[in-house]
Amino acid sequence: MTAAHDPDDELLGRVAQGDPAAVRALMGRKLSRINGLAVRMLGDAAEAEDVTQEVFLRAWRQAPKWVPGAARFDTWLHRVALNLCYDRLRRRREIPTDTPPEQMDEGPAPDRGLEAADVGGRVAAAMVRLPDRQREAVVLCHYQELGNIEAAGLMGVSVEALESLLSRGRRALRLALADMR
Amino acid sequence: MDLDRFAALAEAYGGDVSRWPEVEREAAALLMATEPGATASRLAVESDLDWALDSWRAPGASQALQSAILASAPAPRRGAAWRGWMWRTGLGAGLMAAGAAGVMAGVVVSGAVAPVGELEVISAAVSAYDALDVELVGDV
Repeated sequence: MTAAHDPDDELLGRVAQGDPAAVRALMGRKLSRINGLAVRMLGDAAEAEDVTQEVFLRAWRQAPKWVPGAARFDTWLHRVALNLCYDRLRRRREIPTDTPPEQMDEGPAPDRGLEAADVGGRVAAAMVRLPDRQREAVVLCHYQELGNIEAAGLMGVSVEALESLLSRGRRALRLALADMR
Repeated sequence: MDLDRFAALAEAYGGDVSRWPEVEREAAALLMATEPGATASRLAVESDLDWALDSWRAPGASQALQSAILASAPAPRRGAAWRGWMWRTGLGAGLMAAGAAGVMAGVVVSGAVAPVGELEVISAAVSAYDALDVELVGDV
């Protein structure tokens, strides 16, 4: 898709004017998407909400300066969100904590079957253990449903490198979840 | 496309070919027609993983977050909404024309008849215009 056909441009223009309906519409369009990205990158719902709030704060500031056609707004939002997530991931490495992310789940209790929520918990735990760049590739392509060119562009890598990150990430996830079959 | 490339794409992008890069889909469809068994088993393995990944649902954003985001949004520009409405209906142009005519008339009259300063006439016209602004903004 070319930047010239960005469906968010018109809404952004109205946001810049302080149109409350446009503000609500843009939030409705992007909130789940950006919060989901942050949750899956960080594996922590509370931290993800902090990131999401900051992303929107920057979006509101950006709206009056936005140049339609120069870039896709959704891509710009993803870039801001990813940068904020990486800031937090870096901080975690610098300041080790004993408290694991709240969605860590090592597996189902032995006396009950594997239900959808259990599978989700297992996936969340496996995703948190992936190397950051592999997790980012899987999040962008699978959960955010970005095309390979857009995802590669966001990550600053070639499409071939993206495919390699995706393959390694998915292979690790398959191994981590192998006992579920 | 050969089976190796097909497998590599499945491993990277998953078991749903419609989510593969667009440029690869046609060749993939052709291979699926000529090698249905091998391609289907490869896709099935990746579809299992896709299903598992989809089971991880991100929690929805809290009400507190939504309120905080809305509270930080740009405030409506004073008078922007009613000015836009007036211009769309043509009322704005009429009011501006009437205002300009009034100011001109005041200037002519003040110059010819009374010692009223031009600034006072213009100031009065602007005040009347602002009063209208406040009234209408209150309704928005």
